[in-house]
Amino acid sequence: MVVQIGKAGFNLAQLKQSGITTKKAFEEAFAGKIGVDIDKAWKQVSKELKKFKD
Amino acid sequence: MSLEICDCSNITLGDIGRPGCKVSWKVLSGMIFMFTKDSDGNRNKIDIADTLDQAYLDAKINHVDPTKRWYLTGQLYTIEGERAESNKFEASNGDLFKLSQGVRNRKAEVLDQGPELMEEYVKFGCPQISFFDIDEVQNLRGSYDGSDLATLYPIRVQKGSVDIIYFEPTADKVEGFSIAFNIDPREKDEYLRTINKSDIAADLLGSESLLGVTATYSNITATTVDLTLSLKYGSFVDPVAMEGLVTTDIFDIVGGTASSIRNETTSTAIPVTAVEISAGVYQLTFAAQTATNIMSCAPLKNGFNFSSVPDVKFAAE
Repeated sequence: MVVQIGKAGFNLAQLKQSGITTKKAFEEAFAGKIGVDIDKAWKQVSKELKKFKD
Repeated sequence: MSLEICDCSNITLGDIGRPGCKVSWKVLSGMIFMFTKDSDGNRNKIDIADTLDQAYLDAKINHVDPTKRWYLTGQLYTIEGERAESNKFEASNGDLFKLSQGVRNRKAEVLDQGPELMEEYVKFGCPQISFFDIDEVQNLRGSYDGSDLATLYPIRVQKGSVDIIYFEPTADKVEGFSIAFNIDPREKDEYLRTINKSDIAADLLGSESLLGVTATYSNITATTVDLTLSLKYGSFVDPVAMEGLVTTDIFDIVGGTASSIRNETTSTAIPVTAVEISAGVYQLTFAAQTATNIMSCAPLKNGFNFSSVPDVKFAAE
């Protein structure tokens, strides 16, 4: 499943596989790149990550 | 060539009553090129049962198999095409005997376009190609085979006759190039048939063929790589960026798994997140792979030809 936020499409499978499941890891990977507020993006992505099952 | 052989056992004259209503064929304005035969060995064609709408046209333009794809020229200019007079033998007393049909040629100009687009047309000179004509009101014309009324075939181009000539802009003319070729001698003018615009719910002159995309990889780390996609147009040192891809447009292989890149060494699809970090530059994030494993991807988006992208690889760090 992909969560599209601005020009970034966060692939939940990839995030889990890469261990990008915390706000810190998310910020390290994408801060300054996605063109939208990183906090808002993480809020949306983390909500979907909780529901997501491989 | 194409000289009729009279069937002496069944001689009739044609029914030359004139219909009250006919499709009014207008000035030629464009063409749709395609391979004469597809990769299955079948002639490309339009079946009269086909619904000729925009979805049909878009599917043809974007067909993954280039031999089944349609290549639309858009608006062409100064389109000419005449059949030369038949070759005849004149006897000493002046009697004439037809020896062969004259050759029909076609010439058209693509205006306000440069050598970059011309380079694409030059590729039309090698394979056996065919075309449908489009007139100014978007009627479409092809050819039937003289008996099958369910199939309209594109008109065959004489292989080896395609000639593309560039011309510089002048004070009174824009830059462009001409396309010239001969029609295959097997094609008969009397077999040309027209599909009326009223039976076509698609924009034949306004729809664009695919744009080729080239790829480069840079800034490779253990878990990211920047994929830069660009067109051949624009400045040679700053080509036009291919913008607007999203994660779901990235596949491991053509027809493979969406939102993935490919580890070619292990033949596996690796989930990816794509972020367009600047125009045409996509940062791909993925789980760390074994260093030196060969990686690639196959983007897919209507209107673009990404066929060269999977051939560009990067080695995992």
